[in-house]
Amino acid sequence: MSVIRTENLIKTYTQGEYKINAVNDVSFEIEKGEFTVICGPSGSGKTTLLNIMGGLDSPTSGKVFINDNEITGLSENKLIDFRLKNIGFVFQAYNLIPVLTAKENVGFVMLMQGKSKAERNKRTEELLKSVGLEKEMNKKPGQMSGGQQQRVAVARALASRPQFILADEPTANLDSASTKNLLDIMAKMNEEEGITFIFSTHDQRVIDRARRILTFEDGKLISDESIKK
Amino acid sequence: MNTIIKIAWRNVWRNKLRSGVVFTSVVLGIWAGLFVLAISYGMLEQQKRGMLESQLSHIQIHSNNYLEDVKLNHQFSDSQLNQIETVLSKNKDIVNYSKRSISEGTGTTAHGFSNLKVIGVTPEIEKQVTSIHSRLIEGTYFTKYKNRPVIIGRQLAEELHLEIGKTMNISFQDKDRNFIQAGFKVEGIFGTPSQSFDKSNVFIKTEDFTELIASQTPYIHEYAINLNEVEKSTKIARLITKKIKGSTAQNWAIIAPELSFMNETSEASLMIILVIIVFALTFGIVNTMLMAILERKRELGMMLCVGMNKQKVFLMIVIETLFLAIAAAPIGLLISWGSITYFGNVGIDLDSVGDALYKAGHDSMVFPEIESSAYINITVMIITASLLASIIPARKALKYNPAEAVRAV
Repeated sequence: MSVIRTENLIKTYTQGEYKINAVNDVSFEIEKGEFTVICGPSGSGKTTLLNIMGGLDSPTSGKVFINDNEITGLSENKLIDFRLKNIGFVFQAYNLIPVLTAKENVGFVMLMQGKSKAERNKRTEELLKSVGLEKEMNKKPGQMSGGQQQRVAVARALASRPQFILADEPTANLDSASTKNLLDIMAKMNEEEGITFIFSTHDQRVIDRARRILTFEDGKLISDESIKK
Repeated sequence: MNTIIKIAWRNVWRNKLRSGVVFTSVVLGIWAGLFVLAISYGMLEQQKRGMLESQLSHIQIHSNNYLEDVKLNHQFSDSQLNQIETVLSKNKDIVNYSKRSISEGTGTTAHGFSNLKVIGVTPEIEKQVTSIHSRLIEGTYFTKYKNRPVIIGRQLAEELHLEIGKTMNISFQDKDRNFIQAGFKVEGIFGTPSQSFDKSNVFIKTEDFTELIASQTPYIHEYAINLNEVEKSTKIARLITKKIKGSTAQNWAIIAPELSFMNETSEASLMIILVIIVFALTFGIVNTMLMAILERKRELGMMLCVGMNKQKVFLMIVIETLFLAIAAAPIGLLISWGSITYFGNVGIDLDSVGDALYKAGHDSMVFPEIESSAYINITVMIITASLLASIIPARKALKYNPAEAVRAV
């Protein structure tokens, strides 16, 4: 069963008299446990596609299914709830809450889910340990490096036990060492725990680690390549 | 909920300078509002107390005839006097009272004349009811001169160039409507906060009054009564009126409606000033919160992305705004309480504008005071204002498109 399936997705933006198809008739499926990269040049529609897959934007036409449940057409409140339970997000700029510690940041999503304090603490500590930040648990984002912050963001994305993780240019602000470290952690989680990762990036270092590459140009899916490692 | 409160509280301290400016403005706003309120309220209360103590007392009784037409012959009858004395002696809320003889007259010296209200009193009893004896700025209170002493106000003394020991001719009609005139020696000069009172009221002994109107017995026109609590005046005045025939007891607010009206309108206008101050503070808070929301666009976008529902985002902004406003309130209230208590004891000397205050009926020494409800009122106003102030930034935050906000630069 596919974790995510898109059917003839089209997203059209209107600029004055012009209509631009940011996503143009895109259909694909992603299976559970995949380590997929969506790549392409700027303006190819990667981010728009990621937004639609994450329930943050709605397509002009077409459908998105998560675990065979259609999310296109859900109300805003239902989408918020859906995102909370099913999708983990990792952003380019980390987007941690600066006034909370690493531990509190990771526990934030579980708190929104209504998880008990004991459960939150247990999972938070496990996750931070798995991303190698057990000693930084009580540090606030301002006291951590960019790489450390992004690892906290990965732990946060995993905290809610989502169906898949959408990572939008997660390495764009990181140096080589931090990028390698982050990708190693993600790859390990993918291999050992079967967590599904979907990246949007044009960073070759990420593309090199992918096991499936969806390449986009002008909103169209121009190639779908599986790579055996 | 705890985490939302924690985030809101910590967010307040993210930009210490900006929050500090808002805190300072809230502290100063509360202090300024309450202190101005206390000065105005203190002045009003002093004026009210001054008028009650120097002339009005809490309740006055007059015969109905006198109330309809102020004439010398409209004094209480003997039966009315007996009835009133009985009623007053039985009421435990009455602390003391005095009987007064009153006539309209004219005071004349070589320097001019002035229309007067001549009040005949029994000095020892009047001293218990009104405070004229303690408001003497010169002379003594019916102890020095045996022959026709008079106590006058400082404004009259100035206008008629009178000094202690000098004589003023007072003229009025006797009971048979004959025009009478007699010389009175100035024994004391009093000063109340009211210029008009000081100009038009003079006190003489009841025995001199009785002698001048050629009567064998005193003509009593007025009872001035003090209670243990001024707040009871309406109720007791009504009770007394029920028990006496042909006479009416009135409380100070009925006798001097302008004083009561001034009290009420001043309270309303002071409350308006307070509302304006809080309103101005609200704009400062709205501005600060809007800036904070704009700065945290990406963070709020992330919260919406990962599944924080809009009600919680709204609540977080509301709590943060509330914290921003009310965290400073206790400091403002404490400083206000401290300064009002201090200056309420030592007073504020406004002698530089003393003449203007005297003309307006106020003392130049002002003792700020305030009802404790004012502290509660301003706290409620700040909370309400900050709740209202939070709506604009909270709505702004909810309008963010999470997908765009999360990538905001």
